[in-house]
Amino acid sequence: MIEILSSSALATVQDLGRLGALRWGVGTSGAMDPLALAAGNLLLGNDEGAAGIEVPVFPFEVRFDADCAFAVTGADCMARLDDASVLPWWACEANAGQVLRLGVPRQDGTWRACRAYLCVAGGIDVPEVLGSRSTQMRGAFGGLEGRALQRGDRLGQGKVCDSAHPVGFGLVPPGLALPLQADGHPAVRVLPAAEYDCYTEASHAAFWSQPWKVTSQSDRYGYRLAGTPLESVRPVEMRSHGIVPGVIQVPASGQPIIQMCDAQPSGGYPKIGTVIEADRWRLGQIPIGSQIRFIETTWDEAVDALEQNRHWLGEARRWVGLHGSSRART
Amino acid sequence: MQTDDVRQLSAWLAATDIELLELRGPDHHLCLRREGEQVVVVAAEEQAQEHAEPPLVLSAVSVGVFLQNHPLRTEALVRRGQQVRAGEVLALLKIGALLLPVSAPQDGIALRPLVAHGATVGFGTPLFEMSAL
Amino acid sequence: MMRASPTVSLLGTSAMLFEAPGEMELAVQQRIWMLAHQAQDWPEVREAVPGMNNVMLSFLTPPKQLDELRTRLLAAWKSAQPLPLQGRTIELPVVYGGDAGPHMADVVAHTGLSVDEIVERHSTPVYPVYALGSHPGYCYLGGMDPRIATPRRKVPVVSIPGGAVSIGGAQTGVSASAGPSGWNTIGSTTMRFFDPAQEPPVLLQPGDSIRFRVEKVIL
Repeated sequence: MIEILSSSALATVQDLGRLGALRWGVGTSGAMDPLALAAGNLLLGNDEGAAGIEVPVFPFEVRFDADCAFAVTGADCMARLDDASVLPWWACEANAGQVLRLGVPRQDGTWRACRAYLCVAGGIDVPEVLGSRSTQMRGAFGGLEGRALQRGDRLGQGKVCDSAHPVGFGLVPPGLALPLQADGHPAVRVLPAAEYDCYTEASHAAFWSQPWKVTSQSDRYGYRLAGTPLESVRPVEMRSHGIVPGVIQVPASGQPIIQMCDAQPSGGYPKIGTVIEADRWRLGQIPIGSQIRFIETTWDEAVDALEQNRHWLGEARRWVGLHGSSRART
Repeated sequence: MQTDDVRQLSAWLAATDIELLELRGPDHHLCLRREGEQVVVVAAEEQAQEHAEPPLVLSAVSVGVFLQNHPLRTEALVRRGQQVRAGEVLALLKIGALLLPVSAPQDGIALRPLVAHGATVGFGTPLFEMSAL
Repeated sequence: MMRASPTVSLLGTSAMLFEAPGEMELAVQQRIWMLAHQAQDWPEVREAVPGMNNVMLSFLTPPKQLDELRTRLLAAWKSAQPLPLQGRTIELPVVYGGDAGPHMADVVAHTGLSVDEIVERHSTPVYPVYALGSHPGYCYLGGMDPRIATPRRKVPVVSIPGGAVSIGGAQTGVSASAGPSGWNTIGSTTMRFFDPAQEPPVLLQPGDSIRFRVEKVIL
């Protein structure tokens, strides 16, 4: 059992998302940085899609009620287990009674990020709802009772796949292995959407060339951006249609909103573009108040980017597997 | 030896590039070591012991790239002279996507890395020196 | 936007969006249902999700041959016959006005009609469920009387409760759970639209219909 010691942390149980339920108005939810969650699970010998705890606000503390292998991936939050330092992206062991504390992610390291993932051997054990353990806040189901975690909550571990899985090793994070920047700002690749041509030339230029600030009104539902307002050539009236996380909507104000994991699965606003699926993990780690650049890409490049992510995970899986079997032999 | 004297000697040492000052007298034995900007008083017994026993050498368990800091950080994992516990990670060995620990086999004091940060090493290459407590 | 021909566009590498041309009407929506029904079986498609005279195809994996899929989609639309889904009609008891309908006054002001006239026009039709979306169990309905159409609010409300009956532009709908909304809430009902423990988890699906029964009118 893991006991939550922090209050008001906005932490939620997430896995890689709830797929196949759009037909019922149910969005995907899931980890904002799916690569970090998958890597944390890999480090512990879990299925990549096992549920973990997504931590967006710090400090965050839990107590392990039993011996437990765990890993903290995502942002480097100078984690400590009792008074010992815990390395980021590292498979660790906690003894019963030990307290894990995640501090505010440092912004002076080599990769700026804002969300951490606490993974445990066996994954977080909450019931699967509609095929996923992710928290669905609207409608209040999935995760732990469809809500953010509170002080006093206790979460169990699922069945441990491999109790002999080693600890005491780590992974080089994809933030370093797969860098993407434009003029010193974190960048994501975007494919134009249906209403792209409704915007002025000047708006197109601004969209691609200026840094957009991620305002404080940004969360799992959407990131509200601030910059030169985008202007449409003519007023655009939309019918409600399906959307996906990554869609960049432009309301009347001209300030874009990137739809994120908990966004409504349908919308009626014009859309200028969509952040490609392969770069959604980057979006999930952009700190509030920082700036982001959009890079125009092509279908082939976007599909190739997905393949690069898959390759990174495959390599991580292979190396962890090799390490596991070499340890077993000694 | 008076505290004021120690303070004055520490300040003087800090302004030089001398690493270690050892003063022996009939009724005192003082060791001061410079670490970066600071000067620390090293227990005389520790210093004696450091000279008495050969340091522990930690060697590479695999081919890889030697790292003094975690890739997400800019500061080294340990400082020279830092007390470390058994199992504590002193440095890292990077192989592909994997990071392996260079760990203290017992309680002791971290001394120094033996290869440069970023150097490719082979199996058995001496990587880090530490002393037992 | 009145388009003359269907449009196919991308939602990143995650999905393809098909939008039908012409007026928003049931006959077009029935062809959308047919298109979605067929596309659901295509190997690239995880879900074919109907919207308001449109359908989104979410990908299992992004297709290598994008143009081929586009061509296939347009051809399927061309030959799609209306799928005359005949589901059930659910009657929802509604309390109109008062605390249950905090924006009734705005609809009165915009339309120039009285509360009773608005209630009469809202509760007369049988509304076909065109599509699900927005939030779990929420139904997009067709068939609202255009005389009670009222524009979406300039400032959305942070939270309206589940069961809120609202008008947004030329559409009406019922919230299935508490959440933000830019629509004008004129009444409230107590029906449960979504239960993840049921199979299917939704009360209503495309092809079903809703009618609103006047339970009470609070002036």
